[in-house]
Amino acid sequence: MVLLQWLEGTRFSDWVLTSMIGFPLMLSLHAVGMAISVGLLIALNLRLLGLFRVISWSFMLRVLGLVWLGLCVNFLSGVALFLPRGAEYVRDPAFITKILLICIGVSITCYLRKMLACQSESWNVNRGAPLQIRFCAVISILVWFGTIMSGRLIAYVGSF
Amino acid sequence: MDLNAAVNWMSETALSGWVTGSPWLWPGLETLHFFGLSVLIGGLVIMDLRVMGYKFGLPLSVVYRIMPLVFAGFAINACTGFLFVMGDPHRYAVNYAFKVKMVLLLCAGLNALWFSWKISPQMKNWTEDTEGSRSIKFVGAASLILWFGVGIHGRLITFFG
Repeated sequence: MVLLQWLEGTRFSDWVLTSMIGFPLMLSLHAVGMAISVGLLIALNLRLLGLFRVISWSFMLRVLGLVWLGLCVNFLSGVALFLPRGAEYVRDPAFITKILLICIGVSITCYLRKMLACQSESWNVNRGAPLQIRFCAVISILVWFGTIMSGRLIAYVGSF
Repeated sequence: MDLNAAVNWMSETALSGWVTGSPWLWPGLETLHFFGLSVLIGGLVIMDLRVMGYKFGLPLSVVYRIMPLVFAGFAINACTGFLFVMGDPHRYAVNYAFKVKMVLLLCAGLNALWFSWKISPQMKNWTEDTEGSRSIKFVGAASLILWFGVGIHGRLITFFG
């Protein structure tokens, strides 16, 4: 807590919070990174569920590279948005939910990446993935939707 | 009907009252709007990068199959966006970022029309290795830049009003 309060007082935190461009810039980056990572993950998961069947598994594996890029953008912009209000955010139920969901979502994505990389050759190209993979894909879509929702609710906590 | 009268009329509709009536509805619509944005951009990134020449080992005819995703994202956002404007028309009528967003949206729409009428017919026979002309790549790049611009200006509505 002391550390979080110290971080709130740094010049960087002050810049994010009070400068004209700090907060809008970081929020815009956060939205761009979200659109890239979640958007491509939705496409990937729908492919696993059996849509867009003409698109190859190896293509989807390459798309994952861009997903990590989007997630990196959001990690960095997220840290920038967190620092000025860290002590408040760590007690915010919406924020805690969001971080938990991100951990679950990233874990599922790592698992799916591994499965795509070493098993997809044996999957039927004209169908979706095996049942347990499809199950993960559904959970993944729900988890990322929940991440967006809890992230959005951070702006509202205390106002209900 | 001038803008003021239109805005006043919109804010008095039953729909407007419904949108602002429940404290949960607005954040719920925002969540859907963000989700729709992600779906739209996700599909678009795959499409436009291929048009721009990042081949990913895909023939272009295949990339077209991802278009329904883009339309689905757009449909979610057109509906939720319409409800935002109906719910709080006074705010959007004077919002600078919203106006820029609408202009960018129009440009992105015209760019998409140009693509589907003039460029996509040339692409039917593209294989995995075909690369488009410079003007085709330009249209792909313009699409990405314009749609990211739409998203960013939507985010900025909170700040520049």
